[in-house]
Amino acid sequence: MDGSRAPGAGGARPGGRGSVLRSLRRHRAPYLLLAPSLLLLLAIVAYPILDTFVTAFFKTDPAGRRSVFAGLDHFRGMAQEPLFRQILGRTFLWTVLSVSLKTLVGLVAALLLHTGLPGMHLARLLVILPWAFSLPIAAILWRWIYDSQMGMLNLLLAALGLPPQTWLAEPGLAFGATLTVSVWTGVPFMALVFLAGLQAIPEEFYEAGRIDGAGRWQEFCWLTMPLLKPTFAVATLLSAVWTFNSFVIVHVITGGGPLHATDILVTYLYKTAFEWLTFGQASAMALVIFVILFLFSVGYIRLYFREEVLSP
Amino acid sequence: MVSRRQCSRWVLWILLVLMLWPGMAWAQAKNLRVVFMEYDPKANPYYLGLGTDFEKQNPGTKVEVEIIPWAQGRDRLVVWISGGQAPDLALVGTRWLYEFVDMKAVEPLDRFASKEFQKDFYPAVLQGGYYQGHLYGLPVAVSTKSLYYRTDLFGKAGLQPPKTWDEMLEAAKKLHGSEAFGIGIAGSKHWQTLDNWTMFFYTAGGRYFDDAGKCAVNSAAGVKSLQFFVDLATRHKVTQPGPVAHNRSDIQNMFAAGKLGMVWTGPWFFGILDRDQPNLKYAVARTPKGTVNSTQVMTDSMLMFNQSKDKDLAWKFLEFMYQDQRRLGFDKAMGMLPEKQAVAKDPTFQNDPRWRQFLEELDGAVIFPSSGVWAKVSDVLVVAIQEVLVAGRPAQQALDDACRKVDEITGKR
Amino acid sequence: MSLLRAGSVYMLLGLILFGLLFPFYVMLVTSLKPMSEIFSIPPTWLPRAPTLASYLDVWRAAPLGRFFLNSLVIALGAAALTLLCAVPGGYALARYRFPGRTLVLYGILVTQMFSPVVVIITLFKVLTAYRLLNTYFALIVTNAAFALAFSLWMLTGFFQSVPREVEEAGLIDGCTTTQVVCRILVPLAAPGVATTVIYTFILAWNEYIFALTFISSTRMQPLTVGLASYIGRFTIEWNHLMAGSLMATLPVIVLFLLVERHLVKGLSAGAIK
Repeated sequence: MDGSRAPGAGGARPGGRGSVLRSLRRHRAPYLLLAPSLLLLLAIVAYPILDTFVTAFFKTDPAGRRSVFAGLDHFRGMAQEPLFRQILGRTFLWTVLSVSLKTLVGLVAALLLHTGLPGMHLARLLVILPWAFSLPIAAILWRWIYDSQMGMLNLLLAALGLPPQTWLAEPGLAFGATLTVSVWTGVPFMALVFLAGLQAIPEEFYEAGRIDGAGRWQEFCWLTMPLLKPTFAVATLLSAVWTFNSFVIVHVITGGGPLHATDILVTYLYKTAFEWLTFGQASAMALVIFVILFLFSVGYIRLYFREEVLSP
Repeated sequence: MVSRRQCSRWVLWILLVLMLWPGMAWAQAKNLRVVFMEYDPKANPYYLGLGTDFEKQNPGTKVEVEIIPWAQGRDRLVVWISGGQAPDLALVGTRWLYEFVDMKAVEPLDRFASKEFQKDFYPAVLQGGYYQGHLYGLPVAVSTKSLYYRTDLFGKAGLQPPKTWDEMLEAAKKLHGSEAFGIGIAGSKHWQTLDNWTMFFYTAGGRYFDDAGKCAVNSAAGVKSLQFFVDLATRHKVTQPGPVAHNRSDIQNMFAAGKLGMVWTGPWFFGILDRDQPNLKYAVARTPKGTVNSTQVMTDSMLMFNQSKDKDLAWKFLEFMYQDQRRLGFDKAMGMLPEKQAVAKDPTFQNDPRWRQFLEELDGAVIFPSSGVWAKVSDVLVVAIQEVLVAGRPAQQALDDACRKVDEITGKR
Repeated sequence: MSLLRAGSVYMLLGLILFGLLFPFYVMLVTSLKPMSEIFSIPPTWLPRAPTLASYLDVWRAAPLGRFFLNSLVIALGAAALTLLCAVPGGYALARYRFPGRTLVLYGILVTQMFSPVVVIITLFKVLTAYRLLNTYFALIVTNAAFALAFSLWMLTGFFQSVPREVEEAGLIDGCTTTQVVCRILVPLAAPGVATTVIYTFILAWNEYIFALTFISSTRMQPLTVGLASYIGRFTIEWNHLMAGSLMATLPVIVLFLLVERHLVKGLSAGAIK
C-alpha cells in the first residue's frame, strides 16, 4: 500500500535520482503536512536535548561549560549513591500513585459530567478551575493551606472534629500532601480528555447496545471502555511522563524535605544543576530520566496501542 | 461552522501579528543594566529613583533598572550568566557572589575601589566582599539578628528579657501555653534553618571551618548547640509544633500573629510589624549568650559582571549608589543596618532602641564562611539538623557524618 | 434517569468538586481580607470585614493590565501556532503510512521527557542566538513546541476515529482535501480540537519557568511572573497575590466557555448518510 492518498499527489515519476528522492516524492504529502511541526520541534527542542545528551558525558565548570571528558563517571556516581536509588524508588511510587488517582477521579468525573443532567455545564466549568491556576501559585497556596498554624485544612479538620496535623513536618504526611496536590492539578485535564473521548462515541453505539439488552455495567465495560482506549492510553501515557517530571509542586511545597521524604528525581536534578552548579552531573541525571521514560513509553505503547495509533 | 475562507483569513491575521510583534516589542539597547533584588515592593521606588537620578546627573546615559524577587534571583542570574546575557551590575546574596566568582563571571573591584573608599566601611562587613584575595563585592543590606520578645507576655509572667540560653529556656517554658508557643524555630529544607541554628552555634563559640579549612561543626560547641536547638522542640517542647515544616518567614508570621513568645530574626522585621501589626507589644533583646556573646551578621553584595560592556560607567554608578545619603535612604527603606560608619551616626539609628540593639550586635558578630561551594555544604548541614530533629539521630553522629561529607565537598579530605 | 441515580451522581460530583474547589474558596476568602487578618491564628472562615481593596490595589501596584495583555498575546499565539502545526500534522499521521512515521510519533513523545529544568539554559542560549529575548515570539514558539506532543497525539487519535468513508464522501462530492479537512474532519473531531486549544492556551497562560527566563523587562512579563513578584523575601502579600491570581483565571474561563460547546458536540452520524 503506497503512502499517498490525496488525488494528484506523488504520481509516478519516471526514472529518478535514487530511491530516497523517489520515496520523498511519493510521500510528499505527509512530509509537507508534518513540516511545520517538525520544523518547530527541531528549532526549539532538538538542540537543547542533544546538548544535554552530550554534556552528560563531560565535566562542567560552574557556568555550565563543558571541560573535561568524563565518560561514565557521572553515571557511576549516581549508581553508587544510596540517596539516588532511594529517590528513584520514590519517584516511581509517586508517579504510579499520582497517575492512578488522577485517572480514576478524572474518569469518574467525566462519566458523571457526561450524564447530561441539569447543571452539568456549570459543573464542567468548575471542574476545570484548578487547571486554570498557574502551578507555582497553586503550589504556594497549598503550602499555606497545609500550614499547621495558619492553614485552612486544619481549620476544616477541627470543624469536623478531627485532630489537626503538622502536614508538612512528618515525612509520610508530607509525601501524601504533595501527592494530593499533584492529583488535584491533574484531575481537570484527565476529566476534560475523557469527556472529549466520551463525547466522540456516537449515540448509535449505545442504542445498538441497549437494543441488544446490555445493562449499564456491561455497557461501560464492553462499549465505553474499549472505545475510550485510545484516549485513555494517550492521556495516561502523557500524564505519566509529565508527572514523573513534575517539578514545581514538590519544589515549592517542601523543597524535597523533610529529610528527602518528598524528593523526586527532577527536584533532585534541579538541586544538582542550579544549587550545586554541577551541570554535567545534572545532564547525566536527565539522561537517566529520559531512558527510563523512553523505555516505559515503548513498553506502554506496545501494550496498549497495538492496533490503534501505530498501525493501519 | 467556520468556512474555509474565514479560516484562512483568521490564520493570515494571526500570522501577521506574530510576525510584526517581535519587531515592535524588542526593547532599545540600554547603556547600563542594573539588577536589584526586591526586599519589599513598597521600597522599589528607591531603586527606580537611583536610576533616574543617575541619568539626570549623567546626561546621555540610560539606566535600565530591573527588580527581581529574591526567590527567582539566583536561578535567573545563573541562566543569564551561562547564556552570556549577564547585566552590568547586580545586587546578590553574598553566598552567590562566591559562586559567581567561581563561574569566572565577576569583575574584581580592586582597581576601582580606592583605600579611601574602602576605609568608610565597617571592616568586618567589607570582609565579606573579599574572596580569594580580591575585592569582588561591595556590602549592601547588612543585618544582624537579635531576639524579638513579647513584652506583654513577659510582663505577665514576671520575666526579664533573657541574657543566657538557660534564661531563654526558662522563659520559653513559662510562656509556652495555649496563647502562644515559647519560641519559634525554623527547621525546613532551607538555608534559613542553618541561619536559625547559628543563634546557638555562634554563641557557643562554634565555627564552621577551622583554620586549616576543615569542617569544624562536629566540635563540642557544634554538638552542644545542635542538641540544645533540637531539644527546644523535642525534649522541652517549647516551640511551635512541626518546626521542620517552617522557615524564617513562617515563624515571623507566627510571631506577628501573636502566637510566639520569642523569635530570632533581623531588623527588617520591625518595619513589617510597625506596618502590619501596630498593636503588638514587643521589644528586641541581645542574642542570648552561650559561652560568648555573638550573633550572625549577613550581607548582600553589589557586584559587577565581567560581561559588562562599560565597566567604568558601571563603577560610576556604584560610587553614586554608595553616597552616604543614598545609603541612608536605602537602609531606612529596607530595614537594614548601615555598611558605612558615617551613616551609622545618623539619628535614625541612634535614637531608636531597636536599631541600636541591632547595631550593637555588630560587635562580635560572625559572618558566614566565604566558600564557593557553600550551597552544597549548607544542604548537607541542613539535612544533618533535620536528621536530629525529625529522626532523633544523636547530634554527634549526625555532625560527624556531615563533616565527612563537607570535607569531601571542599576537597579537604 | 431514576431519582436515586441522579441523586448519587450529584452527590459524587459534589464530593469531587468540593475537593477541587476548596483551595479556590481559600483564595477567594483571602483576597477579601486585610493583611493583618490573613495571619491570624487560627484562620477565619470568612473575612471579618470583607474588602475589595486588594482587587483595586493590585491594578495600581503593578502594571496588571500590561501583564494581562502579554499573557493573552502569548497564549493565543501559542494556541494558534499549535493548531497550525498539529492539524495538518495530525492528519498526516492519521491517514498516511510513510517511512519514519513511527519515528516521528516516538520522537514527538521524546520532547516531553525533558523537564524545562534540564533544557532551560541551552534553550536560553538558542533563543539568544535567534535574538528572541524579551519578545512575545520566544514564548509563543516555546510553548507551542512543548504543547505539540499532546496536540499531535490527541488529534491523530481523533482524526483516526472518523471513518474514512466520511472523507471519501466529501472528496466524491468535489471538495479538495483542504476543504475536507476544514469543513468535515475538524468539526467531527471537534472535541479533540477543542481540547487541544484549551490545553495549549492554559499551558501557555500558566507557564512560568520559560517566561521567567526569557523575559526580563517588566513591560513584557506575562501574568505568571508578574504575580509571583508578590512572593517577597520576608513576607508574601497574600491578599494581592490571591486577588491577582483569581482575576488571572478569568480569560481561561472565558475561553473555556467559548470552546465548550464543541466539547459537547456529538458526532453527527448524519454526515455519512
